[in-house]
Amino acid sequence: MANLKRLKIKRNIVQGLALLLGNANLPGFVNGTIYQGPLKRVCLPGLNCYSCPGALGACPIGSLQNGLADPFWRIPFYVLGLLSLFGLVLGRFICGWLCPFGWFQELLHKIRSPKLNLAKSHARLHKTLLWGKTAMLSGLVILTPLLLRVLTGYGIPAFCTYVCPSGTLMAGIPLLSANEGLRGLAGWLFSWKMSVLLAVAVLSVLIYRPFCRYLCPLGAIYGFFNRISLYRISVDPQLCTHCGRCTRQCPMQVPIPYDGDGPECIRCGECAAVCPEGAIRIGFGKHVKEQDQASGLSEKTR
Amino acid sequence: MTRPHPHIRQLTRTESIRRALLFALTAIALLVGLLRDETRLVLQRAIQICLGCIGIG
Repeated sequence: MANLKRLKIKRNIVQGLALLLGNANLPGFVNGTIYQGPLKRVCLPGLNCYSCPGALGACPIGSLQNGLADPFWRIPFYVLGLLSLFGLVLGRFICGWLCPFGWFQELLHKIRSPKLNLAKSHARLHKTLLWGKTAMLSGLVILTPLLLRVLTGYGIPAFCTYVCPSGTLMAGIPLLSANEGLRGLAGWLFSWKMSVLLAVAVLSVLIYRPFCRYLCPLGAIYGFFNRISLYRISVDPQLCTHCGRCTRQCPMQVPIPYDGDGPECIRCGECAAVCPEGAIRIGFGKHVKEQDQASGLSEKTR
Repeated sequence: MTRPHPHIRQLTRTESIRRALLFALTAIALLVGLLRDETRLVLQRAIQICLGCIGIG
């Protein structure tokens, strides 16, 4: 239990530092302006709106949509390359440790209230809803900007405009609070986006990370890389006693010994912290191989 | 009854090949993107307030 407590504190510190490092342009929050320096050439790994007054980098999902929507840009190779690089190296570790909107949902989930575990109570619905991420990615992030570009000559970043609650929280609220000119322009779209944010916030109190699980297109991209990312999870079958503690502890309800590297694991590390046998390791590939050699297992034994 | 052994999390040959290929494609995509000066396009958009993101449309 001490291990788990230490891990949770460590993760909160890393999440806080990631938020601060990615959004260090603090004067922007007072002036109601955004950072316009050269660092914004690089995308941040998490869902961090580039219109946040503090943001030092670009949002990968926003940049991807802009690339697809722009008639002169064609294929956004650079953004796709960066997303792929993040995914191949870290997978959904980014969701669990670096994404500011993921942390926001986690903090809300700490509020004392009855909790909903859809994976347990409504397994079928949960499995269906998990496809929401992919639907959001293919529908609003890729197809809508592309189709609009083909049909009208110029697309729009549809996910950012109509859904992204991270944009409302990190950019909309602070910018409109500090910038009177922008406040005067707010209309039905702002009300709609506030409703989406509010719904996600209320659901986050009841369900662990509902947006990350069911809607986040970035989660869908990193989930695709989770099985092959360099940062991975390993379970030693010789040490595992099938006690089931890891699966019960997993906040994302992933059956760790059987699908630990599946697309839903956010590498929070809670499974490894509660394993009484020390059978679960999380880290970069090298120690996994060493562990495999130590337990006398080779790839052929799979 | 003995329960099935969990799989040790090691990449299969197919997964290793897929990972290597994806790393190669990633490197190519980044190189092409950098050569086409796409970072400038990312910057151009990121330094303007995205009105849609903040709910003004």
